[in-house]
Amino acid sequence: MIQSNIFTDILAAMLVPLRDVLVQLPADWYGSIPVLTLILFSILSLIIGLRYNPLPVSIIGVILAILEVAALDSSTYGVSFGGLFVRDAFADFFIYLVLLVAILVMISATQYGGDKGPYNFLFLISFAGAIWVVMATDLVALFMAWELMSTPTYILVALSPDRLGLDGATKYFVMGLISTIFMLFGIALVFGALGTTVIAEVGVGVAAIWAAPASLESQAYTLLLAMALFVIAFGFKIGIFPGWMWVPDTYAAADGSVTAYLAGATKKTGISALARILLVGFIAARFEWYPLIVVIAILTMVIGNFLALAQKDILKMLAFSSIAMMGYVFVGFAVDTQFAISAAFFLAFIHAIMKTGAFVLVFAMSIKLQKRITYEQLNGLSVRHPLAAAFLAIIMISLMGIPFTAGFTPKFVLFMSTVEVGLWWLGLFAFLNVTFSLGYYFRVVRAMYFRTASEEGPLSLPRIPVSIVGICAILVLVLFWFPAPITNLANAAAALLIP
Amino acid sequence: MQELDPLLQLFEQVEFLLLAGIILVFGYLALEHKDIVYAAFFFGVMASFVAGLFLLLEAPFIAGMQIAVYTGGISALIIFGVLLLPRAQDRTLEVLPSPRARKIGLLLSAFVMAMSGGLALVFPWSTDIPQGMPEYAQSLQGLAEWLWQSHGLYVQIIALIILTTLVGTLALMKMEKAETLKDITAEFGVEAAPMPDDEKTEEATN
Repeated sequence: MIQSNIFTDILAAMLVPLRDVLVQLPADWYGSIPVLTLILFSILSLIIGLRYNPLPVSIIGVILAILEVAALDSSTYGVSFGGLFVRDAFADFFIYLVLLVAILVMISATQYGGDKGPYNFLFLISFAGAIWVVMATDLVALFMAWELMSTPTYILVALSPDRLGLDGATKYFVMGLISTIFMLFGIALVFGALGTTVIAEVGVGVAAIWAAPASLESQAYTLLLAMALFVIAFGFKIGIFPGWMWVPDTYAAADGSVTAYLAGATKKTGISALARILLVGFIAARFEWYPLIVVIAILTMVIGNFLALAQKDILKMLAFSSIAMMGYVFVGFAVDTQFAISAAFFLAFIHAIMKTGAFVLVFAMSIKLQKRITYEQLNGLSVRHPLAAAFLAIIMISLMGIPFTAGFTPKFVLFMSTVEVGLWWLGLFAFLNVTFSLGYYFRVVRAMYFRTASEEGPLSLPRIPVSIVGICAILVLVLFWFPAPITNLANAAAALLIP
Repeated sequence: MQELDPLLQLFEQVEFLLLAGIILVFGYLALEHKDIVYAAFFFGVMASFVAGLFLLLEAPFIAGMQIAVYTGGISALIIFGVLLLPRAQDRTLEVLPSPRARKIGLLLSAFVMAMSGGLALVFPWSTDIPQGMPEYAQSLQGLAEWLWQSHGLYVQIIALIILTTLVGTLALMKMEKAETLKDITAEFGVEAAPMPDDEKTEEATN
């Protein structure tokens, strides 16, 4: 712990000059400076992309945004644009998550698309939107940021090398549109019932109505409908029941970097938005939303796991397993204690790392082999490319939730927290689902290590995707033994929502 | 609020139902017509009747904007789009569902519509409008002031979203042109592998 303090002190000292420069900017921008940097670099990369490869510029933009987040302390410089977008401990946790995925995704873009201006532009704009989503304290601001994040991703999916990308993008776009409609309707209902769209004020209004429900029954019902609409709207993007149908088609059709971003970052911003709405705006109505969340968690886990087991295509299997993983995160919401929410956030973070690595590597293999990757293509990978096989195996073991990898810790804590509040049956159900998931994760490991390859000779993969999956695998191992940097952030984020 | 004459109230209700019915019919036609030019035309008619709803809500300015933007702008844009695109590019989207799947889909959507209609009728909607609701402008100048003074950031975010879609559309169009000009199997790795469906079709043709 002492070592980590020394490390953070040195880092803070190094960032002082940057902070001194940034504070010269208008005070109303402080919280959103990383976002504005990303927008600026997106336009730069679009212009540079007309003639040169803009990827280095985009990567510099993302690195600069990370440094700015680290340099500007959220407690002092967190507020921006009149409090519409605020950086607090909760937002910071998800901002770091988004930016970590962003840098990995941009590096992975060297494989496909990274040399084109629009590709970089769309990614950076989407990163900017994603950061604003987690910072938004107002429903309308959240909606705007949500669209800023989502719109580029529809196009990025369509820009896939596979022609099925258009099919996937259309499904994703239609689902996104439905989610937008639900969200807008929800916001309109909240505004109609309470006359405000500020999430904290909504929380106060809901508490007041719930304290005197007899006289304000119609308002209470309207707000309940709005709450259900929010769950459905964000559920579409997160890929939980009933809005999960687009996930496998889109993830399997988009290029690896886009899929990694969708699974790693945009899903998590949906979780953050929903967490803010439910745990700040509608916390007084907890007993009303909690059964809904339990049902969604159960159905999502079951659907994700059963359908993942039936897949032959690895990308689709990973997509369905992402759906199941969201079910576990929702178990944390259902338990609704600081401990459980913190574990759910930690799981979301680890999941982002695991899925980014897995999607990037499988896509790299699919480009190299010029075919869709099924279990058969993974046969004997331990002989053909031992390093890639080892990294993918570590990620699969972590996805299973086996000890000595970071995937174990949050799941264990989540299941313990269900027992703590008497929801042991939900914990047991989630545990059974985790056991069930071994079926498809272990198949990957078995194919790589216990099956012989149909083709002889080593498989040469580009270094960059292998190094990305290597970084992810190392992170997954390190975060099991030293989870403090992430758990501290997750605890602070959860403490802000549930004091 | 001024109490309305019951007869006038009934008249308004009938007017609303009539407009809503026409909108649904033209919306359906816009969705289902095979020829996209006719679909665009029906869309324009539908958008004009939506303007009627705004007139009912005593918002003539919004009604005017609705006609200008949707009936005029969007319909023209669709037809321009059709003119500019030589032909539909994507094969995968051309697969239409079987008549049976279509019937099931229709039944399902009718069920969902009936359920949501029923819910809308019985739902205890909140009717008390809270105090302090903002006064909305009925003129372009007032609207502009309202947008720029208190919601300038939102306008800029929307501008950014529009820029994104513009860049994205151009990128997509450029990509599709590349696809039509040369054989895609060599360049795009993933598609090089024959899909199970392709093999079946090949066998059938052999």
